[in-house]
Amino acid sequence: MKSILKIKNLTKIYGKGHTAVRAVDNVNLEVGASEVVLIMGPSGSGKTTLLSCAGALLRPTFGSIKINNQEITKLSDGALSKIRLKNIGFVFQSFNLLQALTAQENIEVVFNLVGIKRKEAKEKSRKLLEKLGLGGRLNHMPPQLSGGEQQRVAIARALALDADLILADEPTGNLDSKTGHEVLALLCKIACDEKRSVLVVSHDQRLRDVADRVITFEDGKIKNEEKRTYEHHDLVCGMKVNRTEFVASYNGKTYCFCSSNCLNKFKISPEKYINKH
Amino acid sequence: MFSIALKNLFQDKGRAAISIGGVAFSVLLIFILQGLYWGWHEKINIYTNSVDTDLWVVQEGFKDTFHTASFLPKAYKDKLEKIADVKEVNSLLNFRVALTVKGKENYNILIGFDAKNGIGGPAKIIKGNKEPKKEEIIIDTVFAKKNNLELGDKIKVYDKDLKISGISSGGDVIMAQYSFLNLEQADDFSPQKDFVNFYLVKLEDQSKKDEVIKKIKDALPNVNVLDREKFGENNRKLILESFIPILWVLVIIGFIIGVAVIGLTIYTATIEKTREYGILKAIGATNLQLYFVVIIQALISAIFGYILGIVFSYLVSYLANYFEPIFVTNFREIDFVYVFAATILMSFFAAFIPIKKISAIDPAIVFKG
Repeated sequence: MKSILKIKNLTKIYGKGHTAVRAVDNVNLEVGASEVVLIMGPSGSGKTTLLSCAGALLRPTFGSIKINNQEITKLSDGALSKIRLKNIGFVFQSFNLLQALTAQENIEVVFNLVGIKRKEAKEKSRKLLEKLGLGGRLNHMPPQLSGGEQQRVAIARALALDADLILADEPTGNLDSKTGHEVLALLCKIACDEKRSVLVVSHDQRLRDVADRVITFEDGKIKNEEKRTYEHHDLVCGMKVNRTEFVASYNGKTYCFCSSNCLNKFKISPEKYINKH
Repeated sequence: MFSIALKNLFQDKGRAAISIGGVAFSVLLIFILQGLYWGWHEKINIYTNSVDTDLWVVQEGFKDTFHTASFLPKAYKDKLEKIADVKEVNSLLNFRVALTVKGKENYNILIGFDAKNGIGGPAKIIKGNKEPKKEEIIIDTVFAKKNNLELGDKIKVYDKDLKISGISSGGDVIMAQYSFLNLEQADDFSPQKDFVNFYLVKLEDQSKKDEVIKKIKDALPNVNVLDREKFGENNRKLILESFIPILWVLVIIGFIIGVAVIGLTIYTATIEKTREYGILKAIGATNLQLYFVVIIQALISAIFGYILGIVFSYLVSYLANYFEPIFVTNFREIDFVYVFAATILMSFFAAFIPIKKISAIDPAIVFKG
């Protein structure tokens, strides 16, 4: 599997002398294409610091970070901006949309940053939002959108420039259970269908069921790493699932789904989903 | 990025209005001061420029009509008329008096001129007669408005009542106005009976101007001869030297107000949007791209403020002139360019502090709740 993110001996120390704190301590981590890696751990364990370093937002004290085989720790601020723009997509707990701009304009900004002309940027952002089911919300301002819709706009922004690495910080933290599930499904689908790597930091236990690996972080170190295997693939949302209570049979084959929602959708038009896959 | 700047600026309409209004006020101040300067600059010479003469014969050492006096013997008139290439000589009296109107004294400049040919008389008559007779006076419209005077009203010069026979324009020199009498009447009031103040000389041939000037200086002791341009320039110099330092102080104050207002509003907008600038940084915007957003916001404020400021300037100028005729402005085309350049400069200075703030924003702010 192609490595998208490779972190080696990463250490981040805040402060000096007696007050120095090792937020991340000699961490090694590799995330491959199409892989969803979940980092869990108590507050203050260093998860967000690790994510900030991986996202080229924070310079580590020691160690190496490679994104698509490019070492980024020694790059200038300007070069790091380019890496963030072209190689990394961010999804945040608080969505972080620009409040003065519409949903569509929030996506256009990313295209504008790489010099894509306004008309083309408008068209691309429209298509992207339609793909994520927000075609009817193009001209809505962030406060006019629900939490789930805002998070989907943020995901669209993260996907705009085809970044290989998606970094998500508590992406379901501000969402209700149903919406959180939809966002999870969306992230999984992105990883599967578009071969992107997704590194998620979260307290949300539901994410365990969709991650390929679950890393437990404590005191800045990896305490435990669990590789997850899945027997089935939810044909509706694309999530990887093990045998669940949401099961349907069609033409002699058994299909498993992540939720009753996906199961019901499948039951309405099974051929649509079978043919798609 | 332009649309971000535009939307950031107008998201809070109250703040945008303060920013644009602040610039407009500053532009108004600068533009009005410039307009006043050029208005006075022009106004100061309307009368002297209107005098139909080629040369002004003055006492040696005379500089301008406001700072220095000129006394020339009446006997010089005959001598001047005898000089070759001199076509015509007219005497002019010019002295300061207090005119008493309704018991109140008003400082005025009294001109005694030859009412028969009108040379040295008012620049333009807007009401009444242009030839004042004995015991008549022509007053300036600014003086008339200030004192609520009309044709036929009487004003006292020393102890003599004079009837207003005409109202003229172009005789306002800010600190005083010109009033006009015929030469004989003015001579009655003159403190120096054997003297006039100036001789106005018309030439037969303009090309012999320098030659005639030399002949006059050779023929008459203690005189100087100024052509129209030099005479006007001496008066203008007074305005330039007296008002420019004051004007510049006020223009600089206006400029600083503009910088402070734009700077403060853009700065508070930047502080308020710190997180959003952090988001932009996090998703890959460079500092330069963010500086562009701030500079564009400042520029938009400046341009809108400039337009509004110009409109206000015309409005204020019109109203001020209506209620206070001394308030005369002259807006030159080049001043539009200068003030626009100053406004743009204001916006660049104003963007400086917010730019420093932006460069210090940590993009990792996006992970804070």
